[in-house]
Amino acid sequence: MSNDIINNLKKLKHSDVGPDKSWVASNRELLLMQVKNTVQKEKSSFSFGNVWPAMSILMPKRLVYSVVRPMVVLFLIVGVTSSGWVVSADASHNALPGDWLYPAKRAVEKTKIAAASVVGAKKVEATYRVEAAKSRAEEVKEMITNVELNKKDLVAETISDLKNEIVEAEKKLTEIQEDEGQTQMDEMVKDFKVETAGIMIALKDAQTGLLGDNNEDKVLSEVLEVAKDDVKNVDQRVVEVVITKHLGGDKTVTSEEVKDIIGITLQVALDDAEGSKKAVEEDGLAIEEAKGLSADRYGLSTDSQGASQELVEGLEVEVVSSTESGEVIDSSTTTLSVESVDDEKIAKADSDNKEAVEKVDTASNDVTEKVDAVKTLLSVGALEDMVEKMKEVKTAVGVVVDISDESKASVASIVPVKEGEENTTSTEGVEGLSADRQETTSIEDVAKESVEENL
Amino acid sequence: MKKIPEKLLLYKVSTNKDPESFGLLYDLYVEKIYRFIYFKVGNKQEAEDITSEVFLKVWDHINQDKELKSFSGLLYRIARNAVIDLYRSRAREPYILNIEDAYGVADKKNNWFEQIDLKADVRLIAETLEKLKQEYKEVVTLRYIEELEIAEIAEIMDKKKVAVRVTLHRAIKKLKELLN
Repeated sequence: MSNDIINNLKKLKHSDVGPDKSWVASNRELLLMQVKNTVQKEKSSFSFGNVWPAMSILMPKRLVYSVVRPMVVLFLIVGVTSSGWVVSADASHNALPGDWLYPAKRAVEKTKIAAASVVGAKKVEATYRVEAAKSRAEEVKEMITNVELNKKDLVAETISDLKNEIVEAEKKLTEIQEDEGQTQMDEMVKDFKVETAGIMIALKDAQTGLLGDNNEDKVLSEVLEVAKDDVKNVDQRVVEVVITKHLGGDKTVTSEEVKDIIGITLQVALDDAEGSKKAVEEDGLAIEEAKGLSADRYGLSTDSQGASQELVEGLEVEVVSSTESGEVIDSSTTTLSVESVDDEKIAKADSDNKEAVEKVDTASNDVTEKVDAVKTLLSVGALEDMVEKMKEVKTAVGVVVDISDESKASVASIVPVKEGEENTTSTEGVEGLSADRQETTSIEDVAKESVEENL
Repeated sequence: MKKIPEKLLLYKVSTNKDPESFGLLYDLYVEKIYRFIYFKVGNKQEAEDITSEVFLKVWDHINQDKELKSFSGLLYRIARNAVIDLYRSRAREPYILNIEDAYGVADKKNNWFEQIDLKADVRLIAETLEKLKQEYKEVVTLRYIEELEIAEIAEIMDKKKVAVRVTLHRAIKKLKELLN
């Protein structure tokens, strides 16, 4: 019965109940004319709100508005929030202590470390710690070498942060060592080595920028030296951990990989010793140049007393000029611009350097001998003895580096680096000295020109 | 579920205010809306006037960037309101006291089925349909003559879908009773 009713109702639709065709057409024409009159001429620009009707063409409207739209909005919120964070974090990458973005940089690092810590990824956490330490080292370098930043007062604190990261990294290494499980360490060791090498380079560069003759620089230099030792320790530690794990039955690192790691470590030790030895020898050359410079100046002084006619004239002019102007000009005023180097200091530096050359030669040979001993132990597979011997290598390299540092300080005392002057690395000692001499020579020329003008 | 071409037209109308697309939508709906109105008013002239007015109001609605959930829903709702407005205007005529009376008057006069050629059983249904109260008549018309979805009817009548289903069930039951 119901079906019959419904069927009959549907028949009504197809009955002759419809508008006249002519009325439909005329009404259409009239309607469109009215509609067109209300249309604004300007084209509508893109609106995000039009996206949903467009999507509704292909999807059910309910799905679009109830599911797709909320999801897209949520996605955009998360996207915008996180991209804002990424942009901030990226922008903060080069921030230095004291900068307003620096806390963002540290927050990113801490978040990474915290995430690794929460999931118990000790290897990852240790690597992140060393990465953070490298960032600190680069900040220290930047703050020291770029004096315009005027951030030197923040250096000590940053070095302290660096040391903290290193200490924490070492703790993680100890935990890994004590962990009885298998630990895939080959990649971690490589990362570690790369990061520690980067830290050492940055700290060395920073230290080269602290050759000023003031107390602050000396203190910072000592602090940096301690930090370098810490980095060397952690670098050594990671090798020890690998070997210990290997000896403990962890076969995730093969014997060949252990040999490779040790080979790299030994090569770095030899390079360090060789580099330090060369630096001491170059310091000797620098002292020789300083001596030559001093002799030239001494010759100038002699000429002023009558040895060189030309220079005597110049000196006489200076005296006359001084008299004519009625001002008392100390003859040292002219020579002040060429900043005489204390002969006694040069002599002492020379003596120290000769002693250092002998010492560094001996210490360097000691390093080579110990490295050879390690290689022998490695070849026979005596890894435990080798670990102990490697500690001796590290100590021996430390002795060579100390001698080099002392020599560098000695040379710095006779060739002081002026505040704001571009620093040179230890390997650039001779060039640095030459540049310094060129600087004083040019000042000498200016002084001479000044005298000629007074003529 | 509407066909994609119709959805595309709707998109063009709602976002670009495209008159040509609106004209095509007019072609799609004019007969339905006319019939819906004609069944209510039973007068060809009034049905044509109200149909024209409905399409113009729909365009105004779209042109004002008001939310457009359903084009057909909007059309029928406006049509329904236009018919109610007509009843109200009739109710304001002298000697008619209220809208219910006006509806009654309107219904009594609405013998549209007599003006067209129908088979006997269909004519009986149409005649019985006119005896239903306005709400039942409307829901039956929308569902079985215009073949709209329950959701669309709910939107047009501003009711919940459950309420529409219940009303429809009662309307068919009443129709059966009257036919018997």
